[in-house]
Amino acid sequence: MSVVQLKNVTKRFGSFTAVSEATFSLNKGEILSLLGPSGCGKTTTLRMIAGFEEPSEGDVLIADINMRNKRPYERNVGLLFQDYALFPHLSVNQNVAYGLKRRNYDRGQIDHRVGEMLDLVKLDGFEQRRPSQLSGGQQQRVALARALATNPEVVLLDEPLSALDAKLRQELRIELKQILSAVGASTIIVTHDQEEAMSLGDRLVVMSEGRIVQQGPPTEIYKNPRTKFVAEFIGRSNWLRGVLGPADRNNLCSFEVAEGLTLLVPKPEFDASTYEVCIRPERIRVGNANSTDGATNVNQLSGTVQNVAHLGADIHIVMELASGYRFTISEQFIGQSMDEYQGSLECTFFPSDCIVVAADS
Amino acid sequence: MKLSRGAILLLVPGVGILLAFLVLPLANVVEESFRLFEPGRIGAAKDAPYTFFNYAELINVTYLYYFVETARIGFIASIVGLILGFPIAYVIARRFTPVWRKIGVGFLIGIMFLSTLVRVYALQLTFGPTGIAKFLTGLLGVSMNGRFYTELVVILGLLHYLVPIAAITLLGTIQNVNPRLTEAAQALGAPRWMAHFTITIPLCVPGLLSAFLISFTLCLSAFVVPMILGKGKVLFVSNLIYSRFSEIANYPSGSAISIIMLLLSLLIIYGVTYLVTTRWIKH
Repeated sequence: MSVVQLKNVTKRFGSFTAVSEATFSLNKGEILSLLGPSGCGKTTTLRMIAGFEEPSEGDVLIADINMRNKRPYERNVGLLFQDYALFPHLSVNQNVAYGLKRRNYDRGQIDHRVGEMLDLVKLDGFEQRRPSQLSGGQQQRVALARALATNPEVVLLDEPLSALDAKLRQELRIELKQILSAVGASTIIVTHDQEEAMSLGDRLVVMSEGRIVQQGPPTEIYKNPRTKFVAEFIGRSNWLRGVLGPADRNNLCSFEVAEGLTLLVPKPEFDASTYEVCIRPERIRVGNANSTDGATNVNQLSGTVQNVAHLGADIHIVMELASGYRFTISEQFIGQSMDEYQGSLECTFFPSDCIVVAADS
Repeated sequence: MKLSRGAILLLVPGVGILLAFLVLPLANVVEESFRLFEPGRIGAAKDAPYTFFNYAELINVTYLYYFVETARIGFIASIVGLILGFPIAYVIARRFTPVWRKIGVGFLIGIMFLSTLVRVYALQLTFGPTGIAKFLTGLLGVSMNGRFYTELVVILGLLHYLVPIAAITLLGTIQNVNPRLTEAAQALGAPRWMAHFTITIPLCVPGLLSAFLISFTLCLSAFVVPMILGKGKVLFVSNLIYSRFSEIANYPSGSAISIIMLLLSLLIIYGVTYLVTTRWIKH
């Protein structure tokens, strides 16, 4: 059963179209990541679900009820703002109780529920503190407790982790996911951070310039991005532009990039005038074709190493091919010496690791 | 606190002027207020004996009345000024584009630059016996010579500058309140008016307090407005002080009233500040 449904939702501000014909749904208990660069319309979409903006066209349904002309306070939506928007003049207790009071819970119920929520976000003992006396991570958890307290149909999180520093962000990401699944909240997370979107979301909806460009499970989108935008936005990528040849028996096509640089790529399931191929840095292995255990149909490239960066767990090698193309290769660090990556280098990757997309001319 | 020589050098002129032209004359007023006054003289004699008479004289219903009336009308005008100024400040802070905000603030400041005398006579023309208000009061059966009407016109006169001052003071306060907070409250089930009264207004209390204090002090020292619009029916302490000094030249009495007024003002300001800070602003 879908908790939230968007049907051809369009939002215009004057002559500017912020969101164009967005259609997607959120299932019960699911976490959906709305991913896209800033200005792609994801926040506007969120605000339409929350009721702060009215769609110019199309419908927003929550629990199968059309939300047209329903004010934010007439919807049962839990909202977590990027800056948390905790009420600075109220204590942690009063912040969490605010929504319960507005929904006419009686005193006993409020106390019980507030205790329950603070327990859930591990903030018992902080009841009387003011938001200004809490750390960023604690503030976020109070905001989450406040949003979840009223048992909303849907929880909307707007860039929930972006205000925190990198290390804390990773910790809280795991915690956030645990809390959300503990209460079984149906959740929509808006973010521009692909790692956040992939790690938190059961499903991704990728937006660009007001349109939904692709939706599906994170792994599926990472493996099979439908456009160059999606491939570039999610993960790192190497790009080659070339001419696609006919398919062979194994459904592989030749892809001629330049003189002496021809790859084998899977046959695309669509037609386009020009194609581009994307290869993820971590799918490329350093070494020659002989090291791939006699597998046939392996793409092999050679070039000169331009730069090696040891980033800790990963090593990023930038290699220039004879044709002038630059390739980034990502290798795992397993104790090897950086001297291995010097001078001329050979690398291999399988045709199945090549992602073919239509070139956006 | 340690100050560098340069800082001291820069401070000296300002502090010096304050001492020479504010503190010293004020001390002079205090001194004068304890001198015995002989009717018919201009001010107290140089060697007049010291006395508490000028103060003792004020413990009298007639005088008390002046103080109470000044405070009462000032209080009403200040509160009305806040109530009227808040929405103006809110709209300018939240709804206007930056360009319109500048125009709005410029307009408010412009109003205040207009001479008090001009504004007061404008009101007098409009609401006096020759003005268009005559028709209205006649319709409502309100006497233009009545106490109520005069008081109303005095309050209108005060509001002329209280509203812009309140709006300008509150502008910064409202701009500092995160607009997301009202949205958060709405998402939690609070209708807009409730979000306003439970979140925005409480967060504006410090600003409301300073706007009130500025307005109230301005009212207490108002002089031209009650003098012209009060038509002798509504008189503020300032008018009493004026008549003491310039009409009967009883400087000691005028001084005593001034000192009492100063102390009362300070007391009220301190009291209101204390009350609001302990009751409202705990964080």
